[in-house]
Amino acid sequence: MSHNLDMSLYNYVDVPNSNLICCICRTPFTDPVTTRACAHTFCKDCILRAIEHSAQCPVDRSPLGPGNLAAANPIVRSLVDELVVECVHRAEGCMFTCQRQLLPAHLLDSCTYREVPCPQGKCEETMLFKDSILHVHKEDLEVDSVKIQDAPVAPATDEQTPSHRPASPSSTSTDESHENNSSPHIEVASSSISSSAIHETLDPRVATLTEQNILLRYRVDTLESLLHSFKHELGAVKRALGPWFRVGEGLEAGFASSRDVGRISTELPVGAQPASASTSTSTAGVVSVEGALPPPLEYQPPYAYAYPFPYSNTAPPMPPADSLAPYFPAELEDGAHPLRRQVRTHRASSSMEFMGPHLQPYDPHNPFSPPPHAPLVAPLNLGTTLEGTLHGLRESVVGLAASVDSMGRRHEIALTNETTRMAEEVGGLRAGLHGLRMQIHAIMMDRNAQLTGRDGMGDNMNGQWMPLAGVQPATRPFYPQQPSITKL
Amino acid sequence: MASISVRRLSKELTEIKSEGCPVGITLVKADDFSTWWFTIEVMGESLYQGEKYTLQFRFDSSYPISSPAVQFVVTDGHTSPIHPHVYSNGHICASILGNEWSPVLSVVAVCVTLQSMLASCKKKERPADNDRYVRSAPENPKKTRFHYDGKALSPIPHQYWI
Repeated sequence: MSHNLDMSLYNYVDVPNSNLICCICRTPFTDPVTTRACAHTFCKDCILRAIEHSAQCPVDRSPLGPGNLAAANPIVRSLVDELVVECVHRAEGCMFTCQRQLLPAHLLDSCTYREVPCPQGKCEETMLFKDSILHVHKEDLEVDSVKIQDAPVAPATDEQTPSHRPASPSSTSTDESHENNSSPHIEVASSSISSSAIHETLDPRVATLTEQNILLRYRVDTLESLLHSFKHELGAVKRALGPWFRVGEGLEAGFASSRDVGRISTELPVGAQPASASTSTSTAGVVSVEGALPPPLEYQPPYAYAYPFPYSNTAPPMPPADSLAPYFPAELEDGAHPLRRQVRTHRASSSMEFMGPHLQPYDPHNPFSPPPHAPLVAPLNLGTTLEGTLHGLRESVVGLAASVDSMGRRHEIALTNETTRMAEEVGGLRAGLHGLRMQIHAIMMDRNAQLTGRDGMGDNMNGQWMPLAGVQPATRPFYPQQPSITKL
Repeated sequence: MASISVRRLSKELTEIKSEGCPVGITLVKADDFSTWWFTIEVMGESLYQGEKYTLQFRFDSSYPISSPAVQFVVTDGHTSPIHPHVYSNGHICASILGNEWSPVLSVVAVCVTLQSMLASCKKKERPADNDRYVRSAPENPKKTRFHYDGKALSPIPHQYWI
């Protein structure tokens, strides 16, 4: 697109579609750009000049700045680039027509009317290409070409190269000016080349090569843009992974060692076996169905990074239970790490539910009993791979679950104790209450007896308190006469 | 830079020569790429029925990015129409010749706009400040800072511009 000014002077063989005409220069677009807001297309130079003068869209006067311009739709670009134009040397005689985008190559390499310097590099003269074929210096000629006179006369007297005749008159007629001005350019009689023959052989090949070149350029452009988009995606992936984006020592090492997971995981503490059964398949933090052990590789594709597998490269295989201690250092819990949430799928969360049934055998069988206080949770082990970090995380979760469970038990025990004690107390209170009731009863009986003793009524043999008709006990002094047998 | 105006004007000229002008507009002369003359006539029923006026266009090297200098010719027997936005020296107060110029517009488009400006006129009268403006107007109407407000385009000549 460096020939903008020239491009505006192109003659188009057919009348171009009016949609492809820039409204500013009234010629087909050169390097078209489209406005982002109002979707109007102009030549890049035209609209930039217009914006310099007045920052609004020429079509609808909406505000417009250089930043609001984007490259036009590739289809538009192709449409204008493929418009057929005449060679700029049409006036001189070149009848070549081609797609607009191919014209620069034609002018550079194949137009016979283009100016070239002396092919031998001996003189400073420039001439049209078609004449440069015949441009020779006197000293390069062979002996028998002495016969040949100056160019205008030479063909007529030349008997050795009849093939020159058709070509030379035309070339000499246009070459006169060249040959008259400088040292005589003598046609090489014995040379077997002729300008027309050269054109015939070279032109198609050059044209083909030019076309291929253009195609290759397009392919390179496409590939470059693809590469760019890949880079962009890769950058996004890199950002998403954060500290876990590390190029591994070898893809094979990472994948191959994953086969060892099943084996290595059997070294886990015995008590953790049921848990490890699921661990072995959670190479990517995924818990499989209990009892099923699909090949670990199955879970590689979603996390197809080149990681050194933790078990093989960075961390030692899971040793006996005591070394779980490193997972519980005295540090703060790394709670809501956003990355953790990102990479943790629903399957990881379901691991919690799955862990429930596993915990039953976990606690009593595991020689490593959780400490009486709540275990502290280790921070994320960022030094290892994603799987390693997730595994460490899972271990912390396991430990937390165990401690929660034990806390539950303690609560139960305490509750039971409390309940028992309370029951006992209640029983005691009840008994005391009963005793008091009996006492009162006995007292009332005694009083009753006193009153009935005066009135001649016996007390109820059941010991029940019976109100006496007509008796007004409040008016009489009441004194217990003898201790009651029911007094406690 | 000069070439973009030349290229664009040659395109416009080719178009005029091949497709002709709209009715009522005729090309008088376009010998170079700096000054063109047109005549415009308002067709149909209007205050200017039957009257023909001559417009002069002057282009600078950055046409069409910059607007052309357009005015009615008032020399050699030509007169300017009596219109609230046309001064007696031929200067025209029109927004498309000033801040509302766009490279999309063309010479023919300007002619058509002025034609409709005349056609829509309700009363033949000179602008209110015609005499004052004409006394001190610059030769090139583009040097005048016309002030366009919503209702009436009332020009404020350059020397009143602070």
